[in-house]
Amino acid sequence: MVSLSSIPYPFFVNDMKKASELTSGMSASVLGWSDDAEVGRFLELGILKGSRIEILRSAPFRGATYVKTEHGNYALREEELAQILISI
Amino acid sequence: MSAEKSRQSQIFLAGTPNSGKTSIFNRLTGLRQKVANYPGVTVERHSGITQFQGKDYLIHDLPGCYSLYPVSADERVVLDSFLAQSREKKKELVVLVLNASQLQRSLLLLSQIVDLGFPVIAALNMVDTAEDESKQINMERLKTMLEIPLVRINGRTGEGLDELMNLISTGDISLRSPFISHSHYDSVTTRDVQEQVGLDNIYAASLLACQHGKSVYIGTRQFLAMKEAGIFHPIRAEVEDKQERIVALKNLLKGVEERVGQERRLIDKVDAVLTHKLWGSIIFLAVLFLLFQLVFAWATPLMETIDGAFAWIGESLSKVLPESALRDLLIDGILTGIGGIVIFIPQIALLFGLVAILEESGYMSRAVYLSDKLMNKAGLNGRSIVSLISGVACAVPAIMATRTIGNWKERLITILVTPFITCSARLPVYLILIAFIVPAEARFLGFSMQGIIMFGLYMLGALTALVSAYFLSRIIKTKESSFLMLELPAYQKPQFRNVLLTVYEKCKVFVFEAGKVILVISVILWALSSYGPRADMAAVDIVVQQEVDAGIINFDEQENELAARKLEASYVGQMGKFMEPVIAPLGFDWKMGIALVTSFAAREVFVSTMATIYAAGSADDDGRIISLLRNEKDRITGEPVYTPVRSLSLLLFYVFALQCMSTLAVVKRETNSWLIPIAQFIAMTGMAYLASLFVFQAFS
Repeated sequence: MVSLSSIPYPFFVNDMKKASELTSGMSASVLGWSDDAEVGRFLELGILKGSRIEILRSAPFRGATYVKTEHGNYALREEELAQILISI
Repeated sequence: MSAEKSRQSQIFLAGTPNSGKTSIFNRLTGLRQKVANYPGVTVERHSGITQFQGKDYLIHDLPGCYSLYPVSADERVVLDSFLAQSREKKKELVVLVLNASQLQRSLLLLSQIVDLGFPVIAALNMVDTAEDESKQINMERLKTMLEIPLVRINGRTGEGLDELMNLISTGDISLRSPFISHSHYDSVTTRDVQEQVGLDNIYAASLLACQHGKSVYIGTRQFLAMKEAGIFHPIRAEVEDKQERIVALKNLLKGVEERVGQERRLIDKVDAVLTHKLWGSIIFLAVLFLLFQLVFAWATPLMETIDGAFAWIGESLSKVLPESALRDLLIDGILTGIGGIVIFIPQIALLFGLVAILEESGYMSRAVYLSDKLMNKAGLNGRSIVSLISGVACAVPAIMATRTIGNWKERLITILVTPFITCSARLPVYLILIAFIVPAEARFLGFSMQGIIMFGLYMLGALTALVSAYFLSRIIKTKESSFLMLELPAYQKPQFRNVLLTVYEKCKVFVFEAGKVILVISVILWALSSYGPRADMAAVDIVVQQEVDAGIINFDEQENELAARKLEASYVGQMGKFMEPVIAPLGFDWKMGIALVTSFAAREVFVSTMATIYAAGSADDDGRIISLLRNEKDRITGEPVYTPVRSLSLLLFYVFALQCMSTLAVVKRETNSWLIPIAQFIAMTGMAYLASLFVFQAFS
């Protein structure tokens, strides 16, 4: 098995932001995740560490966000975006 | 020999969502498909037969999933079906459909299935979509890198399917060495799991261990009793496994995928409008309105034709067959029951045809994206909106449409609240009863008061659905987390073949699954309303004859009067009278009680029951029924029975009560449980009772 230390958990990175702080039209690269419970799901969708994500627009009533990634487009809820840690 | 034959002839079709897997399955099997539920869950199991060079192949279409780490019941089925084969040490051929426009992502699942030790053929689909997105794929290189047989196919045109079948028919697909060495998954826990469940593969054991006992193969208690199971970290194991695979696949794909030129922009611009906050929402509302209109408007003439056809068959049969109880059972029980099933087919076919077009085109995901927030606030899912809107036409297809909701709790709530939405069967009841609340000429700000009340009833239904959903979402507990994380796939031209097959399959499922329950209830209702205690029924004949002879009953009226009195003396009539003390506080008499019982067949039966009770003869004439009801006087006080308050009380009963056996039958089928439809029936009827009680007691 891979040793745990090989998975960087970037809790110590300073200029780290959550993807939910991005506004429409902004893009950023993924540093990691704040909650490991859903990491597997992000990996499946191809939202990988180091990959770029772009916020295209959001749904009415502060609804879901339309996210463009290197591996397709996704609708993510705000709390889902908040799990993605990014640097602009 | 026979074992060898059955071994070869089974094929499992796997792939990610939006990989075009279903198109390929439909092309291969056509109408030779079977739909059943996987045991114990409400996930549909699609299998079908395809012939190639005179040999039959049984193809199983597995639900789409991104990996073998399931997050929904659908995805769990995929893992379970591979684990079952690993346990039986009998592994069938897997055809894995790759989405060329999302190659790296599709390969994750492929690498997992290969590592489970299955013979796999990769079928590269949607190359045209990839090319639209300016992605060029080097087939030769991909084949070399994957080290498994690879065929380029096109599910939309059927191109490459012969080559695929040819490859399958040659039999021997050699096993590839694992993408990730099995030694990576070797631990005390995984070895324990492997041994206890009897799996032939350590990776299978690791995948099962990641379920942490939440599987049919190994219960939580059993799992935790294992050595060191407590320190096995399922999420960590899953993330490590996926990361390692993704890195390995990325290296593998170097030089396979090439970007040429610019991406196509026009479709992105269209998408920007369709998903725009304001314009997208307006377009979505227009689409929903159109959907409802089409289901409503196009289905009505078809339903009337079916209704007429069944009436004609019934009449013709009653002329041909000798008068007997068997004839009545055949015509009034069985034929009416079958008619009650067939009548739903136009609505089901239209709704599922239109929904399939929206799904196929990729628009449905956008609709979910737009409405997710609103629906989520009410405890529902973005996809629930389709069911709620189609519920305006009929709850039966609407409840069947909840299958697309992945989260079981959200799906269950949608199923539970959809019957509150005012369906088209309530309309005839509303039309008659509203006439007693306000006169047709009453106006408010220039609008017809009757129209305003009608609108209010629709609103009341919708509001009740949303409010109940809100409360249900607080009550019902689930282990599944609510998530959206929805892929917004590339737009596609809907495929006629897929739409037609969906429609055909949905109608078939309804007729043969829910239809059975509908037929049985309809025969029971017929028996209850045509039979009664023998002495009472015989007395009716004598009394009516006497009254005709005495000139009390007009000779022309004899038949209608006889039918009315027979209904009164029947078991249903007895039930109505028996119920009277219970429903009297709502302002209802036993005649309304009878209508409430018979309405269970379908709400619109209220009208024909009233016609029979009041000896109106035919139910076609609303005006005649209304005037008969208007003349109905209380035996003691001489006051009119159908006062505005009493009519409103009855109306509210129809707004809330679940008086529809077809809905119950479909809920039973969709939830795989009798408990849920029964609880739903009791709760909705209870609400109806309280609402009517309140209105009648407060305002009369």
